Amino acid sequence: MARKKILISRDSTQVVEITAEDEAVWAAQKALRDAAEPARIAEEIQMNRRSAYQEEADTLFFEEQAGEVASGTWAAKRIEIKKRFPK
Amino acid sequence: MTSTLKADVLQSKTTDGDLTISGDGSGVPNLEAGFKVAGTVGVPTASIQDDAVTLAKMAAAVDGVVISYDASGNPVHVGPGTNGQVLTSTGAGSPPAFEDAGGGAWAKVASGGSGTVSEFAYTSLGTKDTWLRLRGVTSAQNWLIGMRMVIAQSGSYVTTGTGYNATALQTNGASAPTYAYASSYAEAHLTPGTSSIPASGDGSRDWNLDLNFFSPGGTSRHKNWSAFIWESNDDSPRIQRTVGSFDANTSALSGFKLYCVSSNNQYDFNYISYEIMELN
Repeated sequence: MARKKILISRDSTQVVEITAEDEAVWAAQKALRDAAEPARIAEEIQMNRRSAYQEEADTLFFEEQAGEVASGTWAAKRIEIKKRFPK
Repeated sequence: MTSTLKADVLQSKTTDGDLTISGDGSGVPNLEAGFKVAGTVGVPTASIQDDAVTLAKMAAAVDGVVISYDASGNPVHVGPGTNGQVLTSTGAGSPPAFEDAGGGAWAKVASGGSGTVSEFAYTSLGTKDTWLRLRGVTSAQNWLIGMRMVIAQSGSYVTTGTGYNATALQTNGASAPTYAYASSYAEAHLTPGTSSIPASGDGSRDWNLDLNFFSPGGTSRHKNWSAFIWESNDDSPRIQRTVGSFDANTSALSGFKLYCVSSNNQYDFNYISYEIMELN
């Protein structure tokens, strides 16, 4: 069965079959995505690690300094976050 | 033979008696145009009977106008305005006017039922805030797929250029946000990470998307959008929120398209219904 796309505007709605031209555009987009993927994934991992450090680990550092949590808690949390978002 | 009675004053003979002037048969008294009543030209208000002025007696005017009064208290025509406009008060001292409806009302501009497509495109983004409600989304494959979005400017999709990057932030119900970042490809990841659209064969889950664009016709640096996504899940319903902007993008947006990928390949997806609305 032919694949389709829906084109919606204020005035009309069309469901049309995917053309060879569409397939060519997709192939070009896939090449762009593939090329960008390693950098994108690395950026995403870094952002997720940074977010998790701020949300979950940073406060542990100060709590450990104050003796409110066991020594090594902060380092263990950082290791756990790195494992959660592996490079 | 015509006879003429000439006199300066014609008065009833009997005190307090009416003066009757009548014609004979079908004839009627015929007054000269511009006649006066009590020294003033025209018929005074007291001489017009209540309910005597019918619509047919009113002067014709442009269709669609209404009658109001100006600052001097004189009647004026207002309108007719254009299709869809409403009559709006302009305050004291001026007549009302036909104007576009005020803000706060979402108007549906497109809607439809279920479908299975490879791309879902809207080509009429304008100056108004726009809201897409896409319901019951599932993968048409037997595996999970992720939904992506690309914007269009002047009818052309923007797929390259780091200045057009879109960045999504997704909380995904976790304590820390999960980022989905497109560093070199101008598409937004609406379903980043492991948060993907379930297969239709799953049967117990589907996705619902509310996608909002804020002033897409503006030319400010950022065109903000947000996606509120929730998963109908028989076991553990969950909500995701994705927000983003089209960085360094100073041209108006003309549309967007949604599609689904797995391993960067594009695949079909299903939906149950859609509605697109604009904020007036």
